[in-house]
Amino acid sequence: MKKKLFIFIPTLALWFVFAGRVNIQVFLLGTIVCTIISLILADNIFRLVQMKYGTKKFFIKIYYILLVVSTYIYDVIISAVRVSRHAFEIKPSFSPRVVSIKTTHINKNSVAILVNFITLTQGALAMDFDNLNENYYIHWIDVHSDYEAEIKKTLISKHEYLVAKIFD
Amino acid sequence: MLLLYLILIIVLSAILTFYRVIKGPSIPDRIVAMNSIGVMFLLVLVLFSYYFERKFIIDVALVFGVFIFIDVLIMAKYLKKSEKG
Amino acid sequence: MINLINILMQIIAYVFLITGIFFVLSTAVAMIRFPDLYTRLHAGSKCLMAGSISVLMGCLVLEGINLNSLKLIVIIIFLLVTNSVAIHVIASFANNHKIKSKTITKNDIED
Repeated sequence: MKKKLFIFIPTLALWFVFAGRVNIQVFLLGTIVCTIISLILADNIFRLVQMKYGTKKFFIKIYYILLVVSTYIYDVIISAVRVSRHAFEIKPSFSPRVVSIKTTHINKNSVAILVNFITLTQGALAMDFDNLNENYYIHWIDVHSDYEAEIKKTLISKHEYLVAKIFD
Repeated sequence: MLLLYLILIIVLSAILTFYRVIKGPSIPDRIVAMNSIGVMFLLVLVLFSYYFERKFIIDVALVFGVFIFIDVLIMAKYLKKSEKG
Repeated sequence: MINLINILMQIIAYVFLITGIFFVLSTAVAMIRFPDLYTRLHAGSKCLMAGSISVLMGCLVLEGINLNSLKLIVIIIFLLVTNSVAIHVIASFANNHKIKSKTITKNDIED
C-alpha cells in the first residue's frame, strides 16, 4: 500500500502542473488516471529497491538527490567548454584512449545510475560494464599523459562517493 | 527583433547537422545526428512561444521531448534485433 | 527604480540566450569536423546539453515566477535524464558490434 501511495502522489502533482488550473473536473479525471497508473506500475518500479529506511532518512536522501543534480549541471557546462574549444581549432588536438576502472559499488542500482550519468562528466563516455570483473570501460577524449589520467580517476571516484550516498 | 536572429542561427545549425545524416558512414552516426536535430527544434519551439507571445506552445514542446526519447530507443532496439537474426 | 531592475533582468536573460546559442552552433561544427563516431558522441551529448540548459534558463529568467516556469523546470530535468540514457544506449550498441575507431592511442580492451 505504501508503494502505491508513493507512486500516486507525484503523478497527481505532475497532472496539476500540466493542466494549469485547480478545478473539480481536473481533480476527478486526474484521480481516475493516476489510480490506473499506480495499480499497474507499482510492483515493477520498486522491484529492485529495498525500502527499509524510515521517514527521517527520506528527507536526507532528497537533499542528496538535489545535490547530485546540481553537481551534474555545473559539471556539464565546464566540459562543454572544453569540447567546443576542440571544435573551433584549426588542427584538433585530442588524443582518445580507452581505460578500465574498477568500482567500489556493491548495490546494482548505483552502478546503473553512474553508468548512465557518467556521460555528463568531464570528457568521459561509458562504453560498457563488465559484470565478472566489475569494472567500467570509459572512453576519454583528451588525456595526453599517464599523470593526467590519474587526476581524472580521482575525479570520478568523487562522483562515486556522492551517488553511493543515495542507495545505501 | 534580436530573438528572430537567434532563431535563425539555430535553424542554420540544424541544416549544417543534416549533412551528417546524408553522408554518415555507419548507422549510429545517423541516429546521433537525428537526435541532435530533434533537440534543436525543441529549442525553436520554446523560443517561438516568446516571439509570437502564445504561451501554449510550451505544452507542445513538452510532448515533443517525450517523442524524441522514444524515437531513439525504438531505433536502437530494432537495430539490435535485426543484426541478430 | 522598478524600470532599472526590469532592464537588468533583460540583460541577464539575453546573456544566457547568446551563451546557449554559441554551444548549439559549436555542436553543428563539431558534427561535421570530428573524424570518428565516439568523438561525435561527445559533441552530441555535452555541447548540446549545455546549450539547451542555458537557453531554457534564459527563458526562465525572462518569464519570472509563474506556472509556465514550472513547466520549463520539468523540461530541463527531463532532457538531462533522457539524453544521457540515449547516448549511452548508442555507445554500448556500437561497442557490442565491434565498430572500431582509428584515432585511439591506447586501448585496454584486449581482442
